[in-house]
Amino acid sequence: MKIYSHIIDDLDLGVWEFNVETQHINCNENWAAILGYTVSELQPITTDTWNNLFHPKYIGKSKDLFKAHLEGKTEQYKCEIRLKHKKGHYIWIYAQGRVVTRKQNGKPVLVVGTNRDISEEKKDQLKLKRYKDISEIASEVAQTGYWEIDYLTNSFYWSPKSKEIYGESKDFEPKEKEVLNYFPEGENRERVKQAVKDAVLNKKNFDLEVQVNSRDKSLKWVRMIGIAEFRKSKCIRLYGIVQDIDAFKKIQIKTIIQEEQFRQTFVHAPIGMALVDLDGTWLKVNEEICHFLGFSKKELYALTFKDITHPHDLEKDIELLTELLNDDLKNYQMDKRYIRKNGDVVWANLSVSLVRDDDGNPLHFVSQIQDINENKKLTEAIQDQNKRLINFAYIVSHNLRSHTGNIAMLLDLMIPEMEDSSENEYIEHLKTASNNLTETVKHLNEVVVINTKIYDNLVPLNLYRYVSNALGSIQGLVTATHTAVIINIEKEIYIAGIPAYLESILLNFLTNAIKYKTPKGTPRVELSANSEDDNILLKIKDNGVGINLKRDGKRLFGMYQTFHNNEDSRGIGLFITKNQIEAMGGKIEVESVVGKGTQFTIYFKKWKTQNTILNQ
Amino acid sequence: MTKINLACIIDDDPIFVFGTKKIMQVADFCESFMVFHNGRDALNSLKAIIKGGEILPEIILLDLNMPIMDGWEFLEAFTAIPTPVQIRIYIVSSSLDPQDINRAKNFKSVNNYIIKPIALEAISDIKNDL
Repeated sequence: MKIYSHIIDDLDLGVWEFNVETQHINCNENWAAILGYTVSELQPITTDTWNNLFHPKYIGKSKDLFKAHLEGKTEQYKCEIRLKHKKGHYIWIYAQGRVVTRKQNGKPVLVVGTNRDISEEKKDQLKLKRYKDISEIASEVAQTGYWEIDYLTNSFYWSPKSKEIYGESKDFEPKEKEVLNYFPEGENRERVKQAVKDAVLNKKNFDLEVQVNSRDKSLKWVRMIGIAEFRKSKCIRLYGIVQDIDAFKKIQIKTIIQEEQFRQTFVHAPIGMALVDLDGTWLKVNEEICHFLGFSKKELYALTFKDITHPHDLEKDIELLTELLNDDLKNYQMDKRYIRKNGDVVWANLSVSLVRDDDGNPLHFVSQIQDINENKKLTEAIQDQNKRLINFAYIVSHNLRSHTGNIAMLLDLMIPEMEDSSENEYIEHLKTASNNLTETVKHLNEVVVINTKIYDNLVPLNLYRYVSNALGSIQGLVTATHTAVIINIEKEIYIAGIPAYLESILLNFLTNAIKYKTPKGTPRVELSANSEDDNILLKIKDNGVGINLKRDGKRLFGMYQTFHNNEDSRGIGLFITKNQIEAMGGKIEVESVVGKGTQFTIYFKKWKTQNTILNQ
Repeated sequence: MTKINLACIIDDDPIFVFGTKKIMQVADFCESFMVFHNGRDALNSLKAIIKGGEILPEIILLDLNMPIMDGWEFLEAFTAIPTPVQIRIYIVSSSLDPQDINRAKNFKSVNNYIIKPIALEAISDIKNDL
C-alpha cells in the first residue's frame, strides 16, 4: 500500500481499505479531500462514519452490491453512490472495490477500493437524459419519429415514436431488410427504394410523402426525411425522421378534390362566375363573364365591379355587399344592369356570397352572374304592352262612355221633337244600336275595373247569407218557373271576398241555372259548400239543358260567347263572373252533360282569422 | 219645386252642354245658364261675380276631366272661397271609378255624383232636392 501511495495520490482517487474481520477502515487523504475533509478531521473512521456519510436513498443499493461481492457472487463491487460533502451537499461518487485476501474457507478478509468524484459527469448525464425526454415529448407532439442506419456497425435504430408510427410495440427491433415491406408494393415502395439508393450512392438527401402499411394493416401517409452522412466518399450513416401526416394529408386530398370540383364548375359553368376582392376588384373570372360583358380577362382584372355597374344599380349593390360584410346577410341576389365594353346595357341576375376564413374574417366574394337580358327585355315588352292595354281599356271604357252617353242623350232629346219618329225605322234601329253600344261599353268597363284591381280589400263574407240574399232578390223568377232550390251550406262559412263581386257571381249562376232550365219537369238548383285546404268550394248544380263542353268548353268563359238561342243571353255574364272569381284569388270548374244538367264548382279563398287582424 | 234662377255648367264637351241645356229646358229647370269650358274660366268668373256682388248661380254641374283646370282642382280652389250664399255642386262625370266616387264624397260642398249620360230624371231629382 505504501509503495503505491504516491502514484495513487496523483490519480485524484480516494483509496480505502476495509478489514471485514476487524471492521477496521483505512482511508487516504484523497478519499477525505473528495468530501472536503482531512483524514484527521474524520478520525476515527469506522463503518458508522461511512454510514453517516451516505445519502439515505443510496445506502441500501450499495450495501447489497457490497454484500454480494463479499459472498463471491460478483467479480467486483462497483456502484454509483452519493456521499455528503463537508459543505452539506451530496456529491456523486463512483465506488469500486475488490476482496484482496480471503481465508482458506473463502471468507473475505481485506477489501480494497477506490472512490472517484463523478459529480461533473453525472450532471452532464442528467442533462442528456432531460434532453432526451424533451425530444421525445417534441416528437410525440409533432408525430415525428427518428430513425438511423449505421453502415459502419450495420445497426438499425427506430425511436419509440417511429415504432409507433409503423404500428409496432416499443420493444420491437427493426431489421434493415424488412423495412421496405412496410411500404406497399408498387409506387410507394419503389419511391422509397430509389430515394435510399440515391442517398447512399449519390449523397442525395430525400423528403418524401409516401404511404405505409402499418402493423395493423391500415394505410397511412407519412413524411420521410433522409440525410446521408459520408466519410471518404462512402456513406457511413443514413438518418432522418418519419412523420405521421395522415390526418393532414387526408384533409389536404379532400381539399384538393373540392378545389378541383370548384375549379371545374368555375371554368365550365354556363353562367358567369367570379371571385371578387373586398375592394371590388375582380380576382378571378370565368370565360362566360368575359363573353357576357365583352371584356377580356386582362381588361376585367384592371377594373372593379363598380366600374361596369350601371349607375342606377350601384347604390343598391353596395348596400347589399355591406350587409353581407356585416354578417346581416348570408348571401344576396339582385337583378342589375352591367355596362358592356361596347357601352351596351345588359341585365343580369347577380348572386353573391362571402367567403370567410376560419376566424370569420371576410376573404373575398363569390359572384354568379346570369344573363337575363332576353328575359328582362321580354318582361319589359310585356309590361309595356300591358300598360298600353290598360291604357287602351281605360280609353275604351271611359272616353267611349262619354261619346256613347252623348249619342244616347241626343237621341233621347231628338226623338220627342221629331213628328214622325214612331214611324221612322232608321230612328228605331239607331236607338237599338245606341243602347247596345252603351251596354257593351258598360261591360267593357266592368272587366277593366276587375282586371286592374286584384286582391284589394278582401273582407270576410258569410256564404250562406249571401246565397240567401241572392235567392231573395230573384224570388219572383224562382216562383214563376217553379224552380226547386236546395241549399246545403253551413251557416258559419266565411270566404275572403269583395261583396259586390260575390253578389254578382251568385246572381249570375242562379239566373243562368234558371234561364237554361230543363224544358220538361221541375227545374232544380242545388247549392252546397265544403272546405278543402285553404279553399271553400261552392257547387251549383242544376238539371238544365247542359253545355256541350267538347264543342264549347274552351269558349265557355270567353267574352261575348253565347251557346243557346236564348233571347236574354248576351254572353257577357260568365266572362265577368270568371274575372270576378279570379280577382278574389279563386277559380272555376265546370262539368256538364247535354240534356242532364250542369255543375259549376267555384273555389273561393277561405277567410282566416289572421286576415281579420291584418285588415284591422 | 222651385224654379232655379241661374244654373252653371262647367264642361268641355259641347255636346253634353247642348244636351244638358235641352234637358233643363224640357224640365223647366232654370231661367238662365252660365257655361264654362274649363275650371280656370269658371273660377275666375265666379270670383269676379263674388267680388262685384252680382248674382251667383244656385247650382253648379261640374265635369271632372277637363283641360287647363280639371274638376278636382276647381273644387279645391272654389271651396276655399267664402260665398255669400250656399251653392249646390253636382259632379257629372262619365267616370265609374269607385276612387273618383269616394273622392267626391270627401268634399262637403258636393251634393251628389251623377254618372253620364245625364237623363231627364236626374235633372228632375236635382230640382226636387232643392
